[in-house]
Amino acid sequence: MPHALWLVTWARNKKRKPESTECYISRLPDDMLRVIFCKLPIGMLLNDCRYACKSWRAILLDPDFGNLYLSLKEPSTLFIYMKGYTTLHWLEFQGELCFFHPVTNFIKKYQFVNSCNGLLYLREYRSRNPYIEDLVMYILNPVTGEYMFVPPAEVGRNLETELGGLGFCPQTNEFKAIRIYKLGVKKDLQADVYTLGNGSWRTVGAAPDILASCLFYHWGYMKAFVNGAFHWLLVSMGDHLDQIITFDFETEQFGSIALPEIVEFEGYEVLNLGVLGETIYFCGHDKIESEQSKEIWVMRQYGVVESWTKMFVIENRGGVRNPFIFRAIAVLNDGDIFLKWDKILIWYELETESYTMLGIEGRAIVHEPRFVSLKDDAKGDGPKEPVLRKLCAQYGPVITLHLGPEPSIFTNTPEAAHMAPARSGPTFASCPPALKTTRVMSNNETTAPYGPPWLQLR
Amino acid sequence: MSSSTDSPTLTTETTQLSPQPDTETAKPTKKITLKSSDNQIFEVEESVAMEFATVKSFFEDSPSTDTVPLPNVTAKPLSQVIEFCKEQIKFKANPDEAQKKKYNAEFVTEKSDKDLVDMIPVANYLEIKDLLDVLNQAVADRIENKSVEYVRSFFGIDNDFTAEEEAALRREHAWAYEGVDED
Repeated sequence: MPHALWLVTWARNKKRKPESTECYISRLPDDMLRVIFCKLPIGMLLNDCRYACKSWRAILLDPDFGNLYLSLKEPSTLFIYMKGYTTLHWLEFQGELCFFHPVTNFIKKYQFVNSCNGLLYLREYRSRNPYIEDLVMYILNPVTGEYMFVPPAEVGRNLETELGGLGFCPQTNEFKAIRIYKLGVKKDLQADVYTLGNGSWRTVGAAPDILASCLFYHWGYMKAFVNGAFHWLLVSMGDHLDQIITFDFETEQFGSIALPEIVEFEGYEVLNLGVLGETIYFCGHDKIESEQSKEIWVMRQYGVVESWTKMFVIENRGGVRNPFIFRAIAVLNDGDIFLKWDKILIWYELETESYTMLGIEGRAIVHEPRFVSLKDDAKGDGPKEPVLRKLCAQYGPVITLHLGPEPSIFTNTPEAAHMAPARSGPTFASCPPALKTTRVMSNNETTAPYGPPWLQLR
Repeated sequence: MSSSTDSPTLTTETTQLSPQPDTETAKPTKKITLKSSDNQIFEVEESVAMEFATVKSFFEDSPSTDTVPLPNVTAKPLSQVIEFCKEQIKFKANPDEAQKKKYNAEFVTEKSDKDLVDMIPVANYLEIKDLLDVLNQAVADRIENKSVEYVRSFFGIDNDFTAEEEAALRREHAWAYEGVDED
């Protein structure tokens, strides 16, 4: 019987007796299915396979599957692609193949800050406004579909919005975000760190002033997270300040890495900073001598200034009209380079010098899939109520907890809540405005009371 | 599927097997008998049977046995698995990666979706790693970039979500639609 005919007959039979065990997938053991899933592009697993049937959904949502997927995965390069500040897609390259699957759409406009260890750090899109107080920043895991807002800035803190970023501290296994701001009229830059799960930002002291003097329109491309540290590449237009400023998320200290001397030459322009394996690279060109050829410099040994090497040169043979706007979004170990040239995304093979235009415009960043629930990543930010209730049972109706820089007072009865400020007015009169707590939004209802409703109820 | 439709393939399998030792009369090869769950008998050369890790360990445990029962394996996928392993042995004797790749590609291309899926548990049970890799990849290739409806029909999955459930789950995953606008 021809295969197609067989399939039709079989499908018809199936309809007639839905409880039939003829379904041959039932004979494929789950672990075989998992192996097959590991060979599929991630966008397909999340958009199609997850909704095929209940048992498939259960397999795909199992965290153990995530580990298997990451260990068995065919070598591929995964990007998150954003178009028009509102839509996100998976963009995955496997050998000759390219896969494109939707992640989500936003109602408001958002833009990438960075991607770290499987979490995307996004901020609300505001055009050309370097200092903003009330900017909405959020973290999302595109694999699990969970997201959370980071606590907003307090009044009076002008965020240097382009300088923030999300990092990961491997020693403590924690995600941490950094933000840099000016406090009031004071010119000094300050830095705060927010540990995912700790509810609020805390200061880590002064940030190098040099960070303020080097603001650029393409700042978004001048940062990279690798080796437990955030990196900002500063370009200062010839006054010998060019360097990479680092922030180590374990020690919470700033540091710096020198750039090769070529960057000091007048007319040399750095175009972007990126990560290659365990080290960093930057892409640049000589605006006067050879604007058409873009150079990629790799720090072959991370932290060793002498190891900066010009590893790749990309000539504009593809006839790109506007050669000024160029970013090497990803440099892969085999020399393939993912580019944004003018507005177009291009896959460039160094060996053959061939260009593949993807035919899509927008921004793309390298992203590793992470199958861990954001709830686990932000454990400390989970609902605190049961803990409080337990403490109240033990210590009485009013307790003081040191959750952030200021002590927080909790009560578990309305009487106590009213009595406390009323009876000891002056004590509470100058109490600082409550920090807005982090809102963890997810599929699970348990975290919901911790958001704005919780604040209102409070 | 009835075993009667399978048996013609089966007999051709066994007859194909027999001419080989005749051409190499110098070293008569030992035969091993495999018995499928539907009581079909397969006589294969020892070298082929040793490709099956499960059969190999069976013989290591009880070398005197002459027939290996394979209670989890039906005749049709077994005959196809034997066919594959016979070819692999040839490639072992004369390594030719290009030819091997070509053969493996052709082997899966000519198989129906059902045959492919049916062979996977057999290859898994008999622990034939190379074949398992080839089959899993072939299945992945066939469903890659296909719609959820295609994937369901390929594997013969009953969609046990109601339309409402599926819509709710998809909405749930489209998280960015919610919440964001509140601020």
